[in-house]
Amino acid sequence: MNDLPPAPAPWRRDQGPRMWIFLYLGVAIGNALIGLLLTVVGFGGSSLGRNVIYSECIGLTICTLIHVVFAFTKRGNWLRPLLSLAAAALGGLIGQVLGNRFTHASLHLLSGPFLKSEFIGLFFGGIGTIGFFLRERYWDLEAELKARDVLRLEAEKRGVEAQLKMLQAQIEPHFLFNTLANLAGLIESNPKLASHLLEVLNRYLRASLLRTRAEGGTLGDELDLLEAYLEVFKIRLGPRLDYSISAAAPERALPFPPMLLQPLVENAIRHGIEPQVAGGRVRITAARDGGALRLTVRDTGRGLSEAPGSGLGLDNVRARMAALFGDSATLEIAQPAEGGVQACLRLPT
Amino acid sequence: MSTALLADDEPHLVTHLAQRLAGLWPELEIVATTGNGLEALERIQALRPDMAFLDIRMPGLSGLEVAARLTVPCRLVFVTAYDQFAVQAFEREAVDYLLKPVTDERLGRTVARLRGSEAAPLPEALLAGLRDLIRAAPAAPGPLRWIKAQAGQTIRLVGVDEICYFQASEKYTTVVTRDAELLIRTPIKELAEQLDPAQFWQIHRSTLVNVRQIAAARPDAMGRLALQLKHRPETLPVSRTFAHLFRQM
Repeated sequence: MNDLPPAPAPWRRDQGPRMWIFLYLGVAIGNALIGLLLTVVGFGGSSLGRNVIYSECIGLTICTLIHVVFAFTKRGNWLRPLLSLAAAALGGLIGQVLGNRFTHASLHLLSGPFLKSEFIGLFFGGIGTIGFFLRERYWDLEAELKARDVLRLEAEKRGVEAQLKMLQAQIEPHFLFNTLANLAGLIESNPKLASHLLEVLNRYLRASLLRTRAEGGTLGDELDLLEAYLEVFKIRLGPRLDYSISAAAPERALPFPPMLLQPLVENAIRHGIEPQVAGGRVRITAARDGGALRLTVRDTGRGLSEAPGSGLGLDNVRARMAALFGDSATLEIAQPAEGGVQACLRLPT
Repeated sequence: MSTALLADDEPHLVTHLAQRLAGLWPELEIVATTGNGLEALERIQALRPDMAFLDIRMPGLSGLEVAARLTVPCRLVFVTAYDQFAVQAFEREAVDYLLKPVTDERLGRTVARLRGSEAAPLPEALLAGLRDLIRAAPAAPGPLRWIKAQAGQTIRLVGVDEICYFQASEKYTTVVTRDAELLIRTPIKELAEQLDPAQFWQIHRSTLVNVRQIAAARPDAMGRLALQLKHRPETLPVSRTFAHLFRQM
């Protein structure tokens, strides 16, 4: 759920003309230094000029040939290093022929100095190949880091959004104003019931504020909150709503993230019971299922018959599940044959 | 003497409104109270009260739907806890409405207005406005996020993130998730229009794939592109028309 589409191949990103100029300029300077070094150690008794010309011819040819090899073989191919070395050897040969041309010298092929040059060419060619490999590896790592950053930021963004929606869900205006309207009515007609409703509403608001602000909390806390929520509706809807919550003490003591179950119960009321003339029943059960905690919200309401649209607050539940548990939590929503909706949340414990 | 009907699915609210109206307007006779829209419509048609106080969110029919279906003249007052769009529409059309919890002052003003007016059929402009409101209400903003699919006797609600791909067959579309295959009747073409195009790509006339479920795109032995998925063993062929989606950037 957290993964993004595969990132576009990023390793080709900076093979623009600038890169080519810098690369060849670098190689040319390196070659000149090699030529200088060879003169200093007295290689072949040649002049500095000759050595530099030979070095440039050999080095630039090898560099070009290795590029060709890298362009036409795939990464991970075992032929690649072999072909690169072969390119270095061939580059050494061609470079010397070119060097002969430019200096009008006639260095004999297979002579001692030739073999030495070839060896030096191979040596630096090998280093060049390793350089190419390292460069590719570096690009890979960079791309990977970037992809990981994108993933992390995306997950963070979703987490914050979900948090925000959770806070908004908690003060759903319809719920609040309708409940206040009931309170206003009951204060005159049935003060006892009014004080009961006030007490339950108070319990619900207090619990949801505490739940969303404090880290941690248990399933018992969440179920207490839901009981207050359902009791508010029980008072408001009268005989149209019936509810039950069943969870044993060991399950109630399990840690449980806030407001993960609340949207499912809210859906049961809002889309299941409230739109149904005859009302119905909401049942919440918590049970261990192997290593998982299984929570079921079952209602006998209108079912999934109406188009659910895109909201229902379920996206929010799903986003928070993914942020908290990754792939190990599941949410299943179904309309059983006998009607209503059954939402089943499975969390790792 | 004036007559009124009260409709709200929350019984205490009906009782309370009746009591307050009795205090503010003793001559008003409440001829019926009801908790759902269907009954409200039926009673208004049968009893022809001068006015009706209708809750907007009611089972059976909403208050707006009742109003749109009425064929007898009746002054309407909508009662709502929080329906921003409806309230805006009412302000425009000058229909009376009350926000819950209803204050005495506001109810008093409504009563004063009702006392001085005659029941008349709803003007056509208002009816048109109401119908727009009813149509607009359930419209789902944004792309489809949930798919309803039949699995035996039960109907499952599947989040689109869970779906690996959709595959069209002769009559049905198969919804393939990590561990299940479900059937729906919506054709691929319609799905492609409703789903988020950034998440679901059409890769074949009969296949829509969830981009987040793609592991790799490889050419097969015939040189045709095939997709490997993260959580499914099978590969999906990409037709030439859609191969451009996977060209290297």
